[in-house]
Amino acid sequence: MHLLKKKSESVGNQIKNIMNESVTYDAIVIGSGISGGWAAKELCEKGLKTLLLERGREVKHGDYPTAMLSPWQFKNRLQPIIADEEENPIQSIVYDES
Amino acid sequence: MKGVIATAALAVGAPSIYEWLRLSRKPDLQYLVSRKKLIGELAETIIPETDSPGAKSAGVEEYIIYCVSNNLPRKEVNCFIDGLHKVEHYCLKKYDTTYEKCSIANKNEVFSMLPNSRLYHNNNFLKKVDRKFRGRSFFTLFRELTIIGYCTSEPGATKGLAYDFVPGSYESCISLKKNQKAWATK
Repeated sequence: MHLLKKKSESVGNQIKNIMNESVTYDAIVIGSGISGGWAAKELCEKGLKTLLLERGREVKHGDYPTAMLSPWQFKNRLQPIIADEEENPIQSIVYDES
Repeated sequence: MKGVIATAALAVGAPSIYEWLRLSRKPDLQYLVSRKKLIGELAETIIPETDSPGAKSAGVEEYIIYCVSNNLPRKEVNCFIDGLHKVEHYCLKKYDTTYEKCSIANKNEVFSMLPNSRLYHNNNFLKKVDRKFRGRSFFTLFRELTIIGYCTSEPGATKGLAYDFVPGSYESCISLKKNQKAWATK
């Protein structure tokens, strides 16, 4: 019994070590916006193990569907949206429909 | 003594429970949509047609109906609907006609009776508490929605205000000219 416990512990430790290695980074960049993407690139080039986190969809150059719209072309006229506020109380302060 | 406290609690509690029930009921959005003309006329009273377009030609009523049904907390939606009822009743009772058919002087008078309909009119602290629990008043809601709807509409932004679709260069400081219109974009 004692042996079994010891064995399972060591297996647990092994898994822990592997996990730690795969989820440990030298740098974590949150958000791949105008400066985040650039920061991640520079960090990679300096040889750091870098993780870049982005919650939005992938945007390719030229894919800016709202860039040339006027305020009246948006359903909520670029005003704060209550559903957004409920879902993301903090982040919704800084974004709108555009 | 206990009786006095209980009576006082009831006196304060009963109306607020009634108020809470009134503001958290399921909003009658069909009524809201059916009063499109009334909403348009109320908005036109705030921003009438002059040498620049008025609220009706800017389609403000469409925006108000959309915004009230999709983008307001329930208590404010109910407050808005109750406000419309109130205006309708007031006009029928006082002028024996609908708001749409009232004279301009009477229309303005209806508005002047609205903001006074709430208690604690001049106490800022009570006003804040009131807004926290009951939301904005009908008058405040209507005024805000009308102005946002107008200033972000195409006729309002391009003809009522100064709108520059592509501003181009960044100019940090431009002095206002005489009779200069406000800029439509923030």
